[in-house]
Formats: sequence, C-alpha cells, structure tokens
Amino acid sequence: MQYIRLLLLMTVPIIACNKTSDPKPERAASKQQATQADKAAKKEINVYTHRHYEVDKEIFKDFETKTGIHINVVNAKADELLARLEREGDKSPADVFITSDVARLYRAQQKGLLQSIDSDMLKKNVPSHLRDENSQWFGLTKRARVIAYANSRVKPSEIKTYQDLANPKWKGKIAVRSSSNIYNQSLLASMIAKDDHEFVTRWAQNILSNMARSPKGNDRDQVKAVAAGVADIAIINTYYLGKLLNSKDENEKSAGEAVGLIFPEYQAVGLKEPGKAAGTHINISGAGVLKTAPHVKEAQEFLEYLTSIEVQNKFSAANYEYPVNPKAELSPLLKSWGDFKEDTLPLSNLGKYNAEAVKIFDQVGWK
Amino acid sequence: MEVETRFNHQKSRTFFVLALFCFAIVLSPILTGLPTFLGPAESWAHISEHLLSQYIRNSVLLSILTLTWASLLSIPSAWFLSRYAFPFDGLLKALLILPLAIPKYMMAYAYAGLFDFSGTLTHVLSMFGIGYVDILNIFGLSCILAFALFPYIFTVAYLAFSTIDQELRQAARMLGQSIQATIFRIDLPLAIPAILGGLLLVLMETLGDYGASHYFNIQTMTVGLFRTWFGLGDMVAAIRLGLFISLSVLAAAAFVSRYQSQRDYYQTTRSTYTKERPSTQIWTSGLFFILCPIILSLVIPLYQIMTWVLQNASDFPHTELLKILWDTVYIALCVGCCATTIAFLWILFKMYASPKLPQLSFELTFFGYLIPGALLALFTLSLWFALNEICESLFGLNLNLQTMIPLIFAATIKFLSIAYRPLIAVYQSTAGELETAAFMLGVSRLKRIMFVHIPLMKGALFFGFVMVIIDFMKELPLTLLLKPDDISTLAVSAYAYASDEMIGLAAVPGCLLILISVPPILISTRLLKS
Repeated sequence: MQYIRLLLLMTVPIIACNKTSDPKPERAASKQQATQADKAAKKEINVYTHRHYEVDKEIFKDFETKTGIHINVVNAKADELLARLEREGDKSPADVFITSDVARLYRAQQKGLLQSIDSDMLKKNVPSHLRDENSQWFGLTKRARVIAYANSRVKPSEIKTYQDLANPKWKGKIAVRSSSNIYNQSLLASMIAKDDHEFVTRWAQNILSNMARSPKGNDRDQVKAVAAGVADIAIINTYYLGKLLNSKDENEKSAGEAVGLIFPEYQAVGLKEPGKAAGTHINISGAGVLKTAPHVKEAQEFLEYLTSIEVQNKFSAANYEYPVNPKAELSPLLKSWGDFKEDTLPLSNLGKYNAEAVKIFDQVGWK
Repeated sequence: MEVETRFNHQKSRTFFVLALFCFAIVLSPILTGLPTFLGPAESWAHISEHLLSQYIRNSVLLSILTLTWASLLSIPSAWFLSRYAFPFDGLLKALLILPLAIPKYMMAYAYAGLFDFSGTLTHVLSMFGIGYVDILNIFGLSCILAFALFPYIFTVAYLAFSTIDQELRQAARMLGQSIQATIFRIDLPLAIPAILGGLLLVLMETLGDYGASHYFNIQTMTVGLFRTWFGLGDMVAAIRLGLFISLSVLAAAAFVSRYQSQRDYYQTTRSTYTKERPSTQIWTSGLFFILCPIILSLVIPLYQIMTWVLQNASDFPHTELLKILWDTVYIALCVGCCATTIAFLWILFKMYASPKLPQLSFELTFFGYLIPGALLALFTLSLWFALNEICESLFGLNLNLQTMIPLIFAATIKFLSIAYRPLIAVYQSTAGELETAAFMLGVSRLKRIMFVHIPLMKGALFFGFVMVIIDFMKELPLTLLLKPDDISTLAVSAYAYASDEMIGLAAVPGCLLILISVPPILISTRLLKS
C-alpha cells in the first residue's frame, strides 16, 4: 500500500509538469486531430531559415498581408535545420528551406530533401547559374567574396586575381577568418572545380604563409585588422562591409571607410580548364521547397515573391546584398562599388567540392 | 548490527525496479541515438591524421588554463569571505556569484570588443604606453571562460569553508600554527572534495563550449565536432568526437565522485560559526582577492554590454522582446520543476534501492550534461519521432510535433546533474543518518519522505531549481533545435544577432538575459547563507 501511495505521489508532479509544458492544450489537441490534408487546406507555410535579418521579417510580413498566407518561421543554423529536417522525415511540417550559402542547399538536395519547382517566373527572375539545373533550389541574393585593401597602403592595381594573394610580397599582410567558415570553404571549392588539386592546395598553403595573424574573428574583424594596420588586405564578403559602413558605432564606420574593395578574378592554370579566366567568386543565399512540403503551391508563390523585383530591391537596399533578379536595382552603396564580372560557375559545384575544400584546409593547417 | 541488516532489508525491490525504469527513460534519447551512428566514419582517417592531436592538445591546454584561473579567482575570495566579516559581505558574495548570469559567448564578445583595435581597453592601455593586445588566442579564451565560470567553484568552496569546524582552526592556532599553515593544513584539505565538484562543472562547461571557442578560432574537440559535422558532413565521425569528450568527462566525474564518497567532508557546526574581524593586512589582501574577480567578470564586461545596449536599444523590435522574455521564463520554470523533481527521485532511489545501484549508474544518467547540446537535441528528436511512430501504429494517435515536451524533456536530462548535486551534498551530510534514526523509530517510509527528507532538503531543492533555471536560460543549441516554431528565448535571440555579426543588437536580449538572471541568483545566495 505504501508503495502505491508513494508511486502516486511521485507521478503526480511529473504528469503536472508535462501538462503545464504545453501552454495551449486546445491548440495541441486540435493539431493532433488535424490530418495532413487539413494542414494543407490552411493558408500557411512553414519556413526553416538560416537568415535572421530584420529585413526578412518585414518582407515576410508584407507577404502575409498581400496573400493572406501565414508564415511560421523556424530560425536556426542551416546545418542544424538540415539535421532536423532529416530527423523529421516525411512528418516534417516544413515547406521552404532557406540558407545563406549554396553548399547547404546542395547538401539538402543530395539528401533528397528538396523537390523540383516548375515555375516560369522563377526561371525568369533567377539567372540559370544561380539556380539548380533541376529547379530544386533558387538563389535569392548574391554575396561576392572580395578583397578589402588598406586605402593608404595598397594600390588597387596590385591585385587582379585571387592568385595574386599568394604572391610572397604579401607575406604577413593578409587577414582572413577561419577555414570553418562556409564562405572560405566555398571559395576554395570554386577553385577546386576549375583547377588541379595540387594547385589549389599550394594556393591555400601560400595564403597561410602570407597571413598577418592566425585566422580568428569574423569578416568584420578582418576589416578592422586592416584599418588598424595589423594587415594590409582582407578576404571578406561584400555585405559585411556594407554593414560596417552603416554601423552606429563610429569606430566600425571609420574602419569600413579605411578600406577599398577589389573584385578579383580567377585565372585557372591547371589541367581542368587551363588559362580560362573566371569572374569574382560569388555565393548565394537561396531557398528550396521540401519534398514533403504540405503547402507546395503557397511555397512556390512565396519563392516567386522573394525573387520579385520589389523584394529584391529591398534585399539590396536594407541588407547590402546583391539581388539575383537582373532587373532589380542596386542600392547606392552597391552601385558605388562599381560593376564587376561574376563567376558563372554553376553553384552546385560549391557544394560538390565542399568536403574536399575542408580537407585541403586541414592538410595545409589553415585553422 | 541487527538494525543495519533490517534497514538494508528495507531497501526494496520495488524501488530498484522503479529506479531502473526511470534511468532507462532518462537515458532513452542517448540509447536510441547512439546505434544510428555506429556505422563507418568516412572522414575519421583524415581527422586522426591531421586534426585529432591538435584537438586534444587544445582541449587539454584550455581546460588546464581555465581551471587554474577559475580556481585563483574563486578559492581565495571564498576563503576570505567565509572566514572574515567584511562589510557588505552579503553583497560581495552576491556579486561573486552574479557572473553566472553572463553567458560565455556574451563574455567573449564583450572582451573581444573591449580589446578591439578601437576598443575601450585598448585606448586605456595605450595611455600607459601599451600597444594593441591580441586576446583572441587560447590564453585569452581561458581567461574569459574562467571569468564566466569561476562562480561554480566559488559557491561550493564558500559552502565548504564555512562549514569547517572552527575548533579545528582554534586548536591549530593554539598549537602555534600561522594562518598560512591553517589554510594549507586544515581549510584546503577539508574543502578539496567540494571544490573538486566545482572544478568538474567548470571542466564540463569548458570542454563543451562552442560559441566562444569558435569565435576565438581555438580548435578544441567541440569545435572539431561541429566542423566535422557541418564542414565535412560526417555525423558519425562527429559523434565519435562527442563520445571522446563525454567519456573523458565521465572519467573525471567518476574520479571526483569516488574521492568525495571516500571523505565525509560536510560537517555540521554552522550554528556556532562566527566570522572573525579582519586585521588591516587581511583587509587589504582580502579586498584585493574579492574585488579582482568582481571587476574582471562583472564590471568590465557589463560596461561593454551596456554601451552596446545604449547604442542599439532603439533599433530593437520592442514588441517582440516581451513575448520572448515571457517564453524564456516560462520554459525555464518548467525545466526547473522537472529537473528538481527527478533529482529528488534519484535521492530516494539512492536511499531505498542503493545497494544494488552503484554510484556509477547515477553518474551515467548525467551523461546528458556531457553531450554537446546539439547532439542531445538530435537524439531527442529521434526518440520523439520513434515514439510518434509507435503511437500512430498502435493507437492511431498523431503526437503533436509543435509542443515544448521534447525541449523540456531534453533540457531536464541535460540539467539533471545540476539539480542533483546540492541534494546529494545534503544527503551525504545528514539525510542518511536521519533516515536510519527515523526508521528505527518506526516511522513509515512515506512519512519519512514527507516529514524528514522534504523539509531537510527544501533549501537544496530550491537551490538546484534556481541553478537549473539560470543555466537553462543561457542554454543555446537544445533550445534552437527543439523549440516550437512560435517560441523564442532570449539566448536564441541574442545568438541570432551575434551570428550575423550584429553584436550590438545581440547585446539587447543578452543584457535582458543577464538582468532576469539576477533575482534567481540573489535568491540562491541567500540560500547559501542560510
């Protein structure tokens, strides 16, 4: 008898806790009853996104008011979202997966998580090299990986290509972040796609020996290092310079003003495509519709909206990202950086060679 | 002797079975998760050739440095405060525990900002002719981790020092021993088992750190784990690294627990305890050791965080903040309740089913604390979906995927050990003896629990509850992965901004997180006092 009473005593708080853990029991119950079809009938989409910018929130809100489709957002790192999607399997409520780099989209595609979306509008809005050839993912914005140089110490004419950075004259002058960073991995992957393994390895090795300090911090920190004279050149994404120049912190602003930008090209030397010149390396922030999406139609509408001129203008103005839609307007800041020739390598290559890039970084000891 | 046998006989089979059942529930996410990943790891050869030695070296070095700094910051201050009556000692004690409110990554960002090329401290140092100091290295990281983590040692060291029998010290003094001699011959040896417990917590936190180490780009095991998982896309190899970390901490935990159980270190002379008045010399050195940690881990980082908040507060969407705040507090309270309840159950198991349950089985259930949050989250998701499948096939029930149950379940597993430690301390000091006494007086088991153990452990239960709440509010990867879509916490919000290099905006939820952690921490200080 004692045991039974004790058991009861112990289970009560556990049950109580479990009960309190769901704040909306009615909602939970109704959701439990809802079948997949019911879910699809409701006008809503579930978006798993790595992007966490204020402008995205505004754009999502506008979409809601315009279409009446409600957006539920799950915000986390792309890798974590990918892992979650895999775990959720066909039970996943997710409709759209948004990342801030192409390698993760490629990974999602390789895992069979995405579906093809046949939309003329998307094809029209997004140039072919910025979307998957099977239409499983589409670019939303572009970021160029460029060179920020100290206005006072470097002549922009000194650097034309990414290979120029490997020149021993820059010994102790380069600031760049860790090789764990996806943008560095994608840059190297784009080289692997065009060039021999040994050549790319040698390039990474040379950059390592030209570094002003061991890799650390984020892209903004690299610009600050240049402004402070610790390094002369930094490898960064364009959009971080935009953020610095528009920062409320005066020191950040002046660090941004102390550098200029070079949009380098890439001269392939290896056997794959010898002598072929490619433009500045770009990465995309992009989106795909999930294979198990309960609301495919709404998801497609959402992607079309995101690539529309109106929204693309907003990305460019508020977040200093290059729009993918060729008809969209560049913000004054982006215009001031001038036109550049961009690499038209199909972006799926960045995903394909990502693991190889990481291995090269590890081999040469680029932390 | 006869009583002893009868008492042991009382330890029932029901409890043993119940304990095994509960242990199985707590270990279930790990048990369901692990076998999935026992397959071949493609990148393992690459990792062991190029990276493993570096990961191990950095982790070991970082741990040693962090433990050293954290001990230096906490043990002397705890000793002075426990032994001497300083003015405002309650306040000082609270200030020494408050750094717990600052998440490690916020501390790291704040110091990196201060030592930035244009940072405040760089300016201050340049006035003394000192140039730019680069703190983004393993040495700097260890200091920052120590600033954020030393209160874990301080709390236990303070408790241990203040429970040392004063007569021992008086005897030593009468025998002509100096203060230094009493420290090294009496105070420290008696407090070491407790301090080891604190060191263990710091070690776990250091080894499990991702945010700060990643920003500083120090290649530790945990940073390597995420790199393997995300960069190489090899989850199996990542989990191997995770197991490596977990097993090494488990070994340390087993050592500490063995050491502690060999020594009966808590004593019960608090009622007669009076603090001495400090002499002038003690005054100055004491103040130095007490103020140093406060300045380094509270005043300086808070200055930077507040500067950012003032710069950016107007840009932050205020309407969201209130909801986020409420969600954070609400979930933290739920997790606190669950973790303390289960920790109390563990104590009952220990009392009533203990001969068959070695200490190691309890330590095993704390495995969740050692596993990186992201992995635990994935394991929990696997379990949740498996459960969903079973429910669907057996009862046609579709479990709701958008509840807080997985999050609360996983967080409870993760923070169970934090709720359990204070309880086991009380159990080891008095509960065991009282249980025997009450049993001999013929008091029923239920009454013993209700009228002996719950009142006796009330303070420790509450202390554990508060510590779980504080830790959960700072927790990141679990919440990120398991939270329902329409819910966010302050830590998640701060992270979102920080990971996009908008540290100024991240400081707003970060600062709020620190502010709401203050009341629970103050409560816990009062508990320590009583």
